Amino acid sequence: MPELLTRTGNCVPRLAPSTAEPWGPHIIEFANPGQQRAIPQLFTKPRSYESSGTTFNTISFFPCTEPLSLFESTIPETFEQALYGYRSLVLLGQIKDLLSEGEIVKALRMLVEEKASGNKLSEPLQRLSDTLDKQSVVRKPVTTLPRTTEATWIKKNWDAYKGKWVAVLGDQAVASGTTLRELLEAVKEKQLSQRPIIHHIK
Amino acid sequence: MLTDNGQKFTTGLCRYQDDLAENQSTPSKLFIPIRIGDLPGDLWAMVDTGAPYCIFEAEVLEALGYRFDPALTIPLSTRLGQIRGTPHNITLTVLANEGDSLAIESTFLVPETMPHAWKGNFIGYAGCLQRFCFAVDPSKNFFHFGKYPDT
Repeated sequence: MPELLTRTGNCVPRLAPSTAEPWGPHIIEFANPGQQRAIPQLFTKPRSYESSGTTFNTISFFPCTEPLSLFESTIPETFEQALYGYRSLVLLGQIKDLLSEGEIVKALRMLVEEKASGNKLSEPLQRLSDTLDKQSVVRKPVTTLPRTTEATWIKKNWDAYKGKWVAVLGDQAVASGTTLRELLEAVKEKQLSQRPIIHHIK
Repeated sequence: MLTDNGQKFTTGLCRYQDDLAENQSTPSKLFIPIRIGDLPGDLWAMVDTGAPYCIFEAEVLEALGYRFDPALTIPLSTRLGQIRGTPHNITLTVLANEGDSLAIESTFLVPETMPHAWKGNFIGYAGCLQRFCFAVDPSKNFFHFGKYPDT
């Protein structure tokens, strides 16, 4: 097993065993400068090593467009954990690639399939799953006035308020500020009975 | 409200603004009124069927308490160059002038930094618009919307 992973893209890490034994220590090399990290032991020596009839599968490709963060690297205690970690990393890379292309539906489908197959999701995958999975749509018996008057005010006063955040209600500005925080404080102080439109005039 | 084969297709409508674009050389964009988080006012956000995620101005997301998380980043190519952001689930409400408003759990990308030229708030397709029915009536500047019929 001379090399566990090979580079397939711009930022794909490469695991290079620094000793003759593949389970460690390893150096994770990234295409991005300054990302190199030494990990003392990535794999525990499997109990079945050197026993006859045992083969080891290697993972050749590791698709990912982003450098991995350190938290994504774990130091497993068992060979099974190592394989689980590898599988999670590969899946995370694939999911990130899909999300990078805006393929939210496909990414969610992969996560759902992974869960359905009985595999526990790693922490970052679980976070992504929680984020993407929530898609509820609820009707609310709330209406607002057409904001035509506010839009007219904004267009009319564009140049005078350029660069500012404004809160407009009807045909007047109830507050303005150079930052949103400043504006929100001013609006809260006014204790308005109706909600203004908040707009950043850039 | 609109129907489709006798079933409700939309249950609310709002008047959209189509000339709020900062760069007036690119008019005819759809800005609809929305409510998000506990902001004491409503916002306009642009309907952007070409964008996957909802991306709002950094100050808005910051005021709502959503942060970029370097531990979970997604690179995304935009019209203004590549940005890196963290996906978050945020509920935004499309406000109705008639009928019912619609609260939609949406997928936002909270960017690490915004390109300097970034302007406005954008509602993306896969992250939000795909989750409900909508139709546009440009003769009246009406944006019709509704929940998918229960199946």
